[in-house]
Amino acid sequence: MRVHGLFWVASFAVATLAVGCFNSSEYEIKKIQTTTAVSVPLAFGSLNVQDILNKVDKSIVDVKVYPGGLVYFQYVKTFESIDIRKLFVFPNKNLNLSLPVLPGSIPASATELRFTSVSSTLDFNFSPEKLKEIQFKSGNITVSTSLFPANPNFVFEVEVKLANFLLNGVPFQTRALSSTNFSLTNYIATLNDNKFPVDLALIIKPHTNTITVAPGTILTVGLSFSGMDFKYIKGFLGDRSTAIIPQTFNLDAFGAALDKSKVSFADPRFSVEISNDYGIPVTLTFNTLEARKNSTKVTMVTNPASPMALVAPAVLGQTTTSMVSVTNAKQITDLVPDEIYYSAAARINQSLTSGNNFCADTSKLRIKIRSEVPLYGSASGIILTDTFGIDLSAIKSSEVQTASLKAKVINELPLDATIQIYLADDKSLVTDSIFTTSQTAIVVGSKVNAIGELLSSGVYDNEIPLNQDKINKLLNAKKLIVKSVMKTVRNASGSPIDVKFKSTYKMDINIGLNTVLKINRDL
Amino acid sequence: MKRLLQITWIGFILILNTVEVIAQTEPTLYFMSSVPQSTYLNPSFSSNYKSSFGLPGSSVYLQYGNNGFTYNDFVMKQNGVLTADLNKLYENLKEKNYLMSAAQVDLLHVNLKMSSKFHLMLNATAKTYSTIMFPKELAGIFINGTTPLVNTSTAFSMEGESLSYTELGIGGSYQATKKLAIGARLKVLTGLVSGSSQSATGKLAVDDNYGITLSSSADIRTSGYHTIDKNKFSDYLKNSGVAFDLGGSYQLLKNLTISASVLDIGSISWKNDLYSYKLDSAKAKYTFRGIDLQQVLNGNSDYLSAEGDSLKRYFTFQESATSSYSTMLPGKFYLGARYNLREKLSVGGLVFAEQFRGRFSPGFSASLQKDFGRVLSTSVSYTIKNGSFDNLGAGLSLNLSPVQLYLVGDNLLNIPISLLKDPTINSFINGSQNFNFRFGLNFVWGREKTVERKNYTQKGKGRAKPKTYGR
Repeated sequence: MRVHGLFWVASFAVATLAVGCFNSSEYEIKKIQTTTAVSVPLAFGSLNVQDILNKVDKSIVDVKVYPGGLVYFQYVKTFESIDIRKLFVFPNKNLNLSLPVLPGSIPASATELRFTSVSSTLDFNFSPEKLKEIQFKSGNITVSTSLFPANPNFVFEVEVKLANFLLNGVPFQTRALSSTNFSLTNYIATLNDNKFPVDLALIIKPHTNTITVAPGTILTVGLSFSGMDFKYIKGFLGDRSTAIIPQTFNLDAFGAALDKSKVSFADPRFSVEISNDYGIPVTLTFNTLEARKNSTKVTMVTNPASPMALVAPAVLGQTTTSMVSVTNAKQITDLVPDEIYYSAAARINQSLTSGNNFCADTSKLRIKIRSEVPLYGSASGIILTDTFGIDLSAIKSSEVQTASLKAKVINELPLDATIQIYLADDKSLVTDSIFTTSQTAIVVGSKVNAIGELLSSGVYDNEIPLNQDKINKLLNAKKLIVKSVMKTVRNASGSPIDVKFKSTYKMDINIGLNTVLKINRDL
Repeated sequence: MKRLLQITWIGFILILNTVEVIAQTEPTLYFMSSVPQSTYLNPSFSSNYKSSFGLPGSSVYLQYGNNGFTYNDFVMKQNGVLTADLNKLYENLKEKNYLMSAAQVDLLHVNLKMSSKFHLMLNATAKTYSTIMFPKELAGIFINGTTPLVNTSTAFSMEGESLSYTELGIGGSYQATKKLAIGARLKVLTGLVSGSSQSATGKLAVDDNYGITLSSSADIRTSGYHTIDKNKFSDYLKNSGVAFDLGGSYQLLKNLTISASVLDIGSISWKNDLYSYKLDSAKAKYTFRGIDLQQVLNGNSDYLSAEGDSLKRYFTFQESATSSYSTMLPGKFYLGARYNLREKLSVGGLVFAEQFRGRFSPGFSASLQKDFGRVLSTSVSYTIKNGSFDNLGAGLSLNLSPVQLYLVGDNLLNIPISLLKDPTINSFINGSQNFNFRFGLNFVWGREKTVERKNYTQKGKGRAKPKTYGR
């Protein structure tokens, strides 16, 4: 065992000797170096025109596709007007009836006595409305009585019956001694040019002593109508006018992209639809109806021309629509307006003195401005700009031996585009650009036939070398500003031609980076 | 004889041109008959001693190897700064690069001469072996970049296995005839841990637009790793196996003995804590084509992180319990010839190979053995193996019966040579692809001196060849 121990001691000694002859510093590698050629993809996409238009403001414009595949912009905005409805406001009405009480003695009675009654007609006397029917959305009737001369022994109630005021088919009927309030909500009153019948009865309450009625005694009954609003009214609603509140339709869906563009659409469509809930002859006059871009204004020419008579519905609850076309749509769309503006006035029952009108509490005029702009035409100077933050500080410029961008764009869209990437500092101050002018035409538009449809794709497939100076600036840049200037393709003589953008047209993009790096890094 | 030389030459060329993989072979030890552990390499060999005995740690074997490169191949001083040049590393890589480490420790060994013809051998040894193979193509992706792959692709497969087990061996050598000795050893194996790549492949393609497609598949099985902190000793006993060694030696001519052996023919069946880790080729596929402009234009700013999550999901190994599996041991083969020049001086030639999972790793060694009296036995060797040609080996045993100290390795001699150039052993390490050595202490009794002397006296000038059973 001692020998065995000696063996391990000897082994340890040999190992120590070996370690003593070992220089560990020779394995402390301080640097690593390699030359490597890297090809990496940077971006790709198979984009159609809807993708490219994805940044438009969807709250303003929809990008849609016709059955034939043609892409179009659809602007739709509906403005609602309750200005006519607001004409019909009914004031409070106080109506009184006198009920004569015959003089004499009324013996004691253990039961009620219907002492006297009277029937009459009351008149709301609204003007200029001559109502035939009203359903109350709200309203109150207050019944009050006044006996002259006063007689404390005369114990009575007044029964009021409005036979034409029905709630679920039951006439309004109530009794009152002093001032008492009743709701008219949901009652339907049938009127004869604002008039309605009323029946009053004097009820003597049971009494134990004889009541003496003095000569000249009169009972006055007051009916006060207040807070009247309607669910609907029918009748003649008068010859009246009102202003329609002016409205502005924002069309600025493209931001600054089209600010400097020149655009011509081949087949734009503009229309105005006016929906009318009022059962009243309405004449609408557009005082102003125009497209605006900055200080430029183009009046929209309508057919029928303003003022225009609107079709009225025949039945309460229905809506009729009057179609108004805009005959100068191309002039308007070529302006690429920022907004549409209108101001208007409405007149009802113009020059009429009678009629069967109706109006619901919810009745409106709806002015829907609608535009369809097919992407069929020509354009130039469309500018798209985007900014990206980058940080390539981890790469030493001295490590980049060569670099080039490989761009392959197969384009079915009839759209040429130049692309420039500007290098900027953290304050967006441009220091340089990546491409020379001759290198920027990266997107080649497709060729089209006589009706502007795809004939053959435009192809760009090139390596774009980047010189060392550009590489250095790229590595130092903090922001990249990508600017694309687009135009539709031209004919052989360079003139614009009308081209179509269909949903099936694609732009296949592949961008890659090819670089040789000589890496020499401290560990 | 001419025919024999031709065959030998052709075999030598084949060895030089065979795919170089790392093997656990010990050619220098093979002819060191003074060391009882040499019987591990051929069970027909018997020790020079009637009995030998080893305690735990009596024999320790360590090996490191790679077939591809040395430290000097890619690390150099530039302006006094130690710099790793990855391009040079790539240049020096082989198509398949194996990194291997192995260790063996004897827990016990006993060699006993039971009769004039029979030696009994017992051993208990703990062994571990691990290797990983990475292809040059894979390193090329990281070092050379993707540009060389544009419009093409590269496929690569990796391999790896790790194996730890204990071996309980019983065997014997039998002198069947005057010239023929045979031997065998039966080994009962108990597996400890195993990790094995059944398959691990990948493919990287770069298209015309620099889009990069990576696909891969893998099937890795392990035993004893997944819940390594919970396994009990008894759990490991479930992993059992059997292997055997066979050997023979024949005295062809008066001074020429040839010998052969096959070792570690067997397998271990793994049953404890079995897990598989798989990458499904149908899922583990991803193409990076850059930033998707469509997603950007659609305002989907989260898509890049979603892509990252997808990528992670595609290439996440699916863990699952798996069924029992078996692994073969790295089988070895030795074919040697020894010629006695003088009583205590001999030369040997050895062809050897290892076969493991379809990989064949051959080698060749020439050695010279010299005993200085009965106290010191030495051997020097030159070995070609594992793709390296500069292996100068040495063996030394100090026979101080009943104690024997020994040290043997297939490129040990490179150490003093490097020390002549440099006072440190760094130049040895930096220039080595392989390094192995075995050292230890045996208790030995009864050197066969009587037989040795008598045999030698009977022949030629009254001296006979020592009885070495085929060395």
